[in-house]
This record gives sequence, structure tokens and C-alpha cells, in this order.
Amino acid sequence: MRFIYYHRFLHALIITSFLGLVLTGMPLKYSETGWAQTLANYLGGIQTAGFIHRVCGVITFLYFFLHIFYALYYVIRLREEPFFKWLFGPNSMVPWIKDLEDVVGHIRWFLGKGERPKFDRFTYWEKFDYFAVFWGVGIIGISGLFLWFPVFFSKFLPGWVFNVAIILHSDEALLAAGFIFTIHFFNTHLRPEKFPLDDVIFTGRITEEELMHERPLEYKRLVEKGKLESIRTTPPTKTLRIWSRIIGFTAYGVGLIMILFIVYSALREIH
Amino acid sequence: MRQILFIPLIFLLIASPAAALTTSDCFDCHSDEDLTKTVAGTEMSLYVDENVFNQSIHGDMDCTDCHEDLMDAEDEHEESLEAVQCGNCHDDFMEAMEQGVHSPDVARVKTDLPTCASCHGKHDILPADNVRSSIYDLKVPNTCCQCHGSEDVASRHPGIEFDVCSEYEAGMHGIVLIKSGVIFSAVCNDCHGSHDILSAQDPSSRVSHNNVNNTCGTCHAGIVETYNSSIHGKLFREGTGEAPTCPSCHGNHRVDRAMDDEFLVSVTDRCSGCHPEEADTFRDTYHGQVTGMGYAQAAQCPNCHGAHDILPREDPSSKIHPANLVETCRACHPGAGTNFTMYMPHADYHDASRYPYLYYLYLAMVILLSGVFTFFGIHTLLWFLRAQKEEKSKRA
Repeated sequence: MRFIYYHRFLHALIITSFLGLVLTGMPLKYSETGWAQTLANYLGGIQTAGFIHRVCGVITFLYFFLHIFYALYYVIRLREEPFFKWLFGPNSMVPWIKDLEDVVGHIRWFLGKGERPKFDRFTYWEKFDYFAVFWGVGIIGISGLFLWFPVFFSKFLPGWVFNVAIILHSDEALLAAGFIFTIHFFNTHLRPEKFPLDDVIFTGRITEEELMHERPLEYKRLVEKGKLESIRTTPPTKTLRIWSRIIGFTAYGVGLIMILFIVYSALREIH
Repeated sequence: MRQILFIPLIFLLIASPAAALTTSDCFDCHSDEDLTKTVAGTEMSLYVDENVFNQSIHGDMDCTDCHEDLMDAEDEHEESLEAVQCGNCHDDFMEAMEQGVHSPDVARVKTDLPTCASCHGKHDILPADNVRSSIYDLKVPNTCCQCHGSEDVASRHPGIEFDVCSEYEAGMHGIVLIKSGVIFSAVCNDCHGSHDILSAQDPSSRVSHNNVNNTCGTCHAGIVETYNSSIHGKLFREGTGEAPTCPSCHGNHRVDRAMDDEFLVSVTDRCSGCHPEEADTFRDTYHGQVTGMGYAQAAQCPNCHGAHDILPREDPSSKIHPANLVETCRACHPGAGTNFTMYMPHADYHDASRYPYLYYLYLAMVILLSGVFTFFGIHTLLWFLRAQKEEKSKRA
């Protein structure tokens, strides 16, 4: 068992709200294109799209705070090591020297100049994804609130923050959508070892062989501390597997379509 | 007894060669519904409904008052008659006709040229205020559209707009007249005139650049008054020809209702003809994006600048004069204050000289995005190639 139910539930919230936000937000960014209008019409018109966008925004804040609560709970109650040892150790998301070494080592391995680095519980690209969400939710979320409640925020901020907010909101969203739908999809799911889908985030379960191969340091530590048995669980049920695929492939589909739309619009803008 | 018979005979002998055909003589033959003649192979009815004629505006006149060439005719007459000369009595209208686009002098295809009868009818002419008249307000569009809505006629007159009738019907004037049956809605002749219709390019036309505002103002007097005091009105009086007139924004035959969403979301397009840069920068903003996608409630040009009363920023009565901005924003954003008005509704982050901070912020975003995508793009590609190799060697 790699991810408990709570983590999987939060990731499901992320998927739903993120897809909802991209689907309803991108048409506005590329409002001058025909597909934007078509997509908005399918979503029930631009007004409905705006409503969905705000609902998904609220879900985003919800999972963000649910995670913060969990993180605090973890640090205060579940943490088993001293604070600083944990903070810079393998069970924390904080990037540290080993991650930098892993980046270099990984690239050397890509180029055939070395062994594959031995990864631990969280790899550097996973940590990047994690903090990208923090950064993204922070920037996009706050600028989104500005744009949602301009009168309120203008009580103590000058009006030009809304000019700033729309640039940040729009370009950060492009970064987030572009990153998730290409880099995250590849790194986590589409690369040959995982193809077509790594369903660990949906089932929560990883096989012992995979853990051994993918995260040898974590495996070794678990064995040494005799904890491996405590996290051993049943294989995922067939229903869980099927649902993982349905959700995963739906997300691929939406992502792929949106990426095509974005690339098409971006190319059109250059012309 | 003999004498009694003789008197009518003498009367006939003396009187008949000199006396003209009376109207009742004419109807002796022409009230026959089957009376026809054949012109170039087609059969033409020569029937005239006596009742209709008697009720027409010319009901008190004699046939020969108009068909003058029959003045001296016996009861049998030539089959082909000369054209009736309405101008003998209605000389002022004839003169007006000769000045206008329907004059025989300018007609390109003579057979398409409207005659008096094309619009007014023949034996059934009724005054314009008679509900059955072909020039009664409710009927005018039908009458004009016999030609101006006909594809057949259109095919012979390249360059003349022939969608005017469908456009008119779709517009507010047409809807009010045809669907709502409101008689004082504008019909063709209210704007174009009737006998002396001139091309819009002709400076003395009612719909020329110089005159069209006043033409609209005959009904929309209050609007024209407001317009006259606006920057557009001032520009119009300067006479450079650049000022927008009513149709520049509202269109001509199809005048849409300004409260309708369809009109509202197209306002930016209407203004962009003269203000392309302002329209472009507006379209990049949230207001521009949502209205561009059909959300009519968000602000467009007139919400901030006004419509008929547009004034430059420097004018104290301008909606965008600094002293009035709070009130202008509050129309949509109740509770907005001075801070709120510091929003830049036309900010262009591509313009480094006017909006340096936004430009550098945008530039920073571009660098961030390119950086992330370049690094991870290469990272991903290399990873893919390596992983492919590994998989192959594993299988081998």
C-alpha cells in the first residue's frame, strides 16, 4: 500500500476540479477561436462555464486545505523522526541535496553515462509536481479570487492588481495545463515502464517488484526496519482496476484534446 | 308616333360621332371577366372591376380622362393603347421621379423600371391612408419588395443590394411593423423618400452621410439631439466625413434592438471599424473575452464610454472623466471605489512603453513557461529514448 484512501480521494478531487477548470477556462483564454465557442456551447454556454469554473475553483481550495490539514496532522502526530531529520529525509516532500544528485544522475543515465539513480519514496520529479501544485494553486487561486471578487479586493488594493491577476491567472494556467497534460502524464503514466497507466494513485497499491525496482532505497529501508509486512495488502480488485482505467483514460482524453486546442491556438496567435 | 321615333334617330345621327365614349360604354365590354387580348403570345385580361374602380381615388373620373387616346374612339377601338400619362395631372410627382433613381434616364434595364402603376396600381388606386392601398404604411415594404426582394430582378442589376427586404424584416423596424403591426414604424419611404429616391452616395439623398442623421431624427429626435452634443456629433459638424452617423453603428436596413444580447455582444465589432487598437486591447481583457464569447452582461465599449453621448476623457461630463469613473464602474460593480478605478481596461501587456510593468511581468511568465517546458521537454524525450532501449534489452 503506497497511498491511503485519503490521498487517493484528494487526487481524485484534483483530477475532477483541474479538468473542469481547464475545460471551462481555456475557452476564455482563446476566446477568439471557433473551438472555444464550440466547447463553451457544449458546456452550456459561457455563463454556465463560468459557474462550473468557480465551483471547480472552490473544490481546488477545498483539496488544498484538506491537504494542509493532513500535512500538519502528519508533522504533529504521525511523524516518527525528529523534525529536521524528517524534513530533509526521504519521507518529506522537501527537495534536498539527494534530489539534485538524482537529477544529474538520471540525466547521465538517459545519456547512457551511468547507472540509474536509486530513488526513494518520493522522486525529484514527484516533488516538482507536488510543489508545482502548491505554486499553481497559490498563484492561480489567489489571482482567481481577485478576479472573482474585484470590488472586495479593491477596498485595499489598487485596481491594476486585476491587470496583473489576469496575466498571472492565464499564463500560470497555461503552464499548469501544459505541464500536467504532457510532462506529468508522460513521467508518471506514459513512459514505457508504466505504459499505458500507472494506477497506483487510484488503487493505492504497488507490487513488491515494482517498489523494489522503482524505489530501491525505500524498499531497503522498509525491509531493514521490518515494516514491509505492515504495509502489505491485498491486490486491487477488478472493479477498482476498471475504474482506475476509466478515470485515467478520461483524463488522458480531455488532456489530449485540450493540448491540441492550446497548441493550435498558440500557433494561430503567432501567425 | 312617327315623330316620337324620329327624335332619337336624329339625336343619334347628330350626336354620336361627336360624343366620346362614356365610362359606362367602356364597362359594357370591360366588365366581362373573360375579355382578353394576346400580346406577344401571352393572354392579357382586359377586365376592369367596376366596383373597385368606383371606390378608387379616380372613381369619379372618366376612363378617357386617363386613356386620352380613346377620347375620339368609337365603341370599338384599337387593341393597343398608348401609355397613360399620370404626369398630365400629377406633374410634380413626375418631375420628382425624373430626379431620382427610378428615372428612365438612369435605368439600366428599361423593363425593370417601375411605373406609377408598379407602386400605386391602375384602376384600383387608393390614397396612402387607406388600409387597402398598396402604399399604406403596412404595405409599403411589400410593394417595394416586388422588385427589391426579387432574385430575378437582382440578377439583372449587379451591385445593387437585394437582401434589403430580408434584412429589413429581421431588423427592429421590420419586426415592429410586420410582427407587431405598429403603423408608425419606419418603412422604406420614411428614409428613402418616395418619388425622388436618391442613391446614398448622392449628397442630397435623405440617406447620404450628411442627411441620414436628420432622417433618423424625424422619429428619433431625442437621440439625434444627444448625438449632436457628443464627440461624434462634433466631429460630424466638422464635416471631414469621418464621423460615424446613425447607420455606422446601427446598420441600415437591419437596425437591431440595442437592448438585445445579439446587438450588445457585437458592439465592440461595430466600434472597431474606427477604433481598431482600442477594440484589440479590450478584447484581451476579461470583459473582452467573455463578451466575445456571447456573455452580454459584461461591460463593452458603451458601458464605460456611453453610446450617443460619448465624450472625450477631458470633458467633465464624460463617463470616463476621472471625477465620474467611480460612478461609471459602479453601474456594474456596486460598491466600487477609487481604488477600483485604477484598473486599466485597455492595458496591453505587449506594449513595453505604455505598460512596462505588465510587459515585464508577461515577459517573466514567458521565460518561466519556456524554461519549464524546455527543461522537462528535453528531460522527457531523453527519458523516453532511454526507457525504450531498456525495455528492448529486457525483452531481448
